[in-house]
Amino acid sequence: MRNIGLRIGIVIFVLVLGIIAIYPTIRLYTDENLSKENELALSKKAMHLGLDLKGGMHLVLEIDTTGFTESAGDLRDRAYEIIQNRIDEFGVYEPIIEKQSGGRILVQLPGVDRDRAIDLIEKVAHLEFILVAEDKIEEVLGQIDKYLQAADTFAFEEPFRSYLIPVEQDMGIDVRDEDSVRAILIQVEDVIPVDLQILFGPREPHQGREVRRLYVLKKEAELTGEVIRDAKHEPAQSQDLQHLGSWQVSIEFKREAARRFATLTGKNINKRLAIVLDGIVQSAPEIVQRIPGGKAMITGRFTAEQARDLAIILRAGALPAPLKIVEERTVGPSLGKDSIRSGIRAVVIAGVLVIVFMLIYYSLSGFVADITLFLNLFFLIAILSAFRGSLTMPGIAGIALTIGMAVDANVLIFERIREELNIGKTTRTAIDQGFARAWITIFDSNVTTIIIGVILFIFGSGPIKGFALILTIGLVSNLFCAVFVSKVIFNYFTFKFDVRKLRI
Amino acid sequence: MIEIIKGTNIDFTGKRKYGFGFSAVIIFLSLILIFAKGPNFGIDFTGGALLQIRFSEPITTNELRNTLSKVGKEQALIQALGDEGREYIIRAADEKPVEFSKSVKEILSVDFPDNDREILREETVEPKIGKELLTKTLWAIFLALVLIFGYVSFRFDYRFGIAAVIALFHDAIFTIGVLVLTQREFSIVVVGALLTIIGYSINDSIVISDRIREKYKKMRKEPYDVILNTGLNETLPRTILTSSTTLLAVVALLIFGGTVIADFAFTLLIGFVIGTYSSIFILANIVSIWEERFPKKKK
Repeated sequence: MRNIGLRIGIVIFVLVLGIIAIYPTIRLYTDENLSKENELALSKKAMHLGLDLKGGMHLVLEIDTTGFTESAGDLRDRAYEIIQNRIDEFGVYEPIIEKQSGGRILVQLPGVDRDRAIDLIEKVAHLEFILVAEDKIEEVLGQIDKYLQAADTFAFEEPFRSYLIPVEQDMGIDVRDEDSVRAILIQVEDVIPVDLQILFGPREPHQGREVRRLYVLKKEAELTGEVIRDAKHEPAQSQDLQHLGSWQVSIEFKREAARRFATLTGKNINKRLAIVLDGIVQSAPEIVQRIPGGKAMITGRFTAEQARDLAIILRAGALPAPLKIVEERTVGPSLGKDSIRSGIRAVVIAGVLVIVFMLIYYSLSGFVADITLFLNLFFLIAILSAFRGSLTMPGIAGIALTIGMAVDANVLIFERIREELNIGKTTRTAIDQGFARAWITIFDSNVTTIIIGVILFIFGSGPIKGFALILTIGLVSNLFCAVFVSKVIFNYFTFKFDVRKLRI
Repeated sequence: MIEIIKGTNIDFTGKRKYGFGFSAVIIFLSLILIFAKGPNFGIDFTGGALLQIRFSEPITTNELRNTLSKVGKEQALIQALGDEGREYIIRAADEKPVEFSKSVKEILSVDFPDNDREILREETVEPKIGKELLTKTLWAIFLALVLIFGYVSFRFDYRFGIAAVIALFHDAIFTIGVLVLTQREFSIVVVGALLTIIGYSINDSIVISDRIREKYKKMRKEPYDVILNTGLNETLPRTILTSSTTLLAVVALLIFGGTVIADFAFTLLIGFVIGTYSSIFILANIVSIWEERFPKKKK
């Protein structure tokens, strides 16, 4: 009966620590009238929900180095900065953005609109101002047709121009013909003069069908997006009915670029200047006069959201190279809620079954085991909160599993005590011997499971990591609960009530 | 309080030929299944796309398949969740998962414009990532086996270490065999479950080995078989009890845990049952055969 006071003290001390650690988590997930500030403060000290429970997206992006001389690592580092800026400005709650080896970036965004977020991240946002070569259109079209007719003697007249339809002052194509037109453009690549290029506009409705405009532009850009100082989204002021209610993005150039823009517009009055974003011509307004203020406008059929996102992207800057999504795992919010509900149900049912089982099988001692089981779960959540760990769906499975496996230690001890009692030892000796002999077995068997837990944590991805974390923490806290705490309980009660016959 | 199993005296080592015979048969069948049919690898390893969609109006699997065939995606696996015909998982190994996912979503909005859909889950994995994951997984399993062999050899002796690893292979092969038989998806979560099974099974083996070691010291005069049998019989109540509580938890998970975790729980269930069996019948018997052929001098 050594140091029973000290040991009770240790148990109480650890319990208090546990309560302090677990409090923010309990409050965060049960108090519904929390203010935003409180919520933020609490969440910094609380257990988190994994993306699979909260809903959100997990993306692994890989930088596409084709055509770049820089190393994948350098490109990745620059892309990382830009993505971080974009996501910061977009306003996502607790995003995770990490560099990974192999030119990859990991992005985890809880609770966002998937398509919007992907646009925001994936868009290279290479902005160019290119003059439209209107005087060259007929010449280029003629050359394309001449080439096609020469290549294929059975072709009818104007094999290319026959696809074209007028869209306002421009030419365009029906989107259903897009694949054929693109194929032709690849075929005639060498026919188009080296200082010119043909680019598409975005999809738009026109007289009951969906079309894309086609532009003949100069090859060289007059200005590019690096010269942008600021970008804002605003409602379009156009009187045009078609653009009513749509939004636009106004951009402001840096000082030196503003001068170049003024000269450019001054020299090209009555010509058209195309604003090209990632190879798509957003608009090609006519230059009416010299623009001295260093401001320009990107108009299009933007919704408020699209215009806002575009402004964010332009402010954050262009990606140094395109990013490709190599892995995506997105969970919608309602699936997360379903998972939490069924997960909690499974854990509660598992708990009740095991508790009842232990009570029936070991009677009063089973009750002690049940208490340590509760304590184990309590410490599990407390430790997870203290380390700001994430609870994932496999993690919830891990909790259920911990409930099932944690009583193993109790069973080992109780069986030992029974054996000692059976060979005629007194209650107290049996308890001491039982604990002492079971300890080494419990330790050995836990170590191997902890080895597995650590391996799973190192090699596993998100949700599996959550499982490994719970499994490992559960086992460690189980060593404390089932061995230390339950012995204190046994010693205390057999000492206090002078128990002669143990109900085990 | 009750004691279901008390003072058993089962001759486990004497019956070892039945145990080995049974194991040989199930392992043989599992291996045939694994090599003939192959595991139903999920997109985690093959690369591909997965969409879990909830429709507001019920539709049939056939309607869905017809729609998918319009974009040449009829090879996709369609799994109905629940029996209302509202929730489906569409899954396919594909070289271009992002495009796959996109074209499926587009054709759905063309064919079912008035049936509101919610994308519950969307996953795309490039084949290259799948391959990396497979390599990583194999390393993880290898490392787990080496570390466990090392620990068991260090705590007991190398014969227990080797026997334990053989028992682990036994459990893993059988579990994979059952997964192939039931055509369950072999995903990264299932691998997690397999590793957990390895951890759990070794747990049992250690408790039993521990007792055998203890008996070995006390019963020096007795033949090795008797020592093993005593150890096994004495730990039998614990083995059965612990397995029971763990199985209770796993069954609760399988029945109530929802679709996301079902494969995980199923794998655990199979693995825990076979793991318990192998700890009792395989591990000790391998050690006992070893001892018969190459007796270790008692100190």
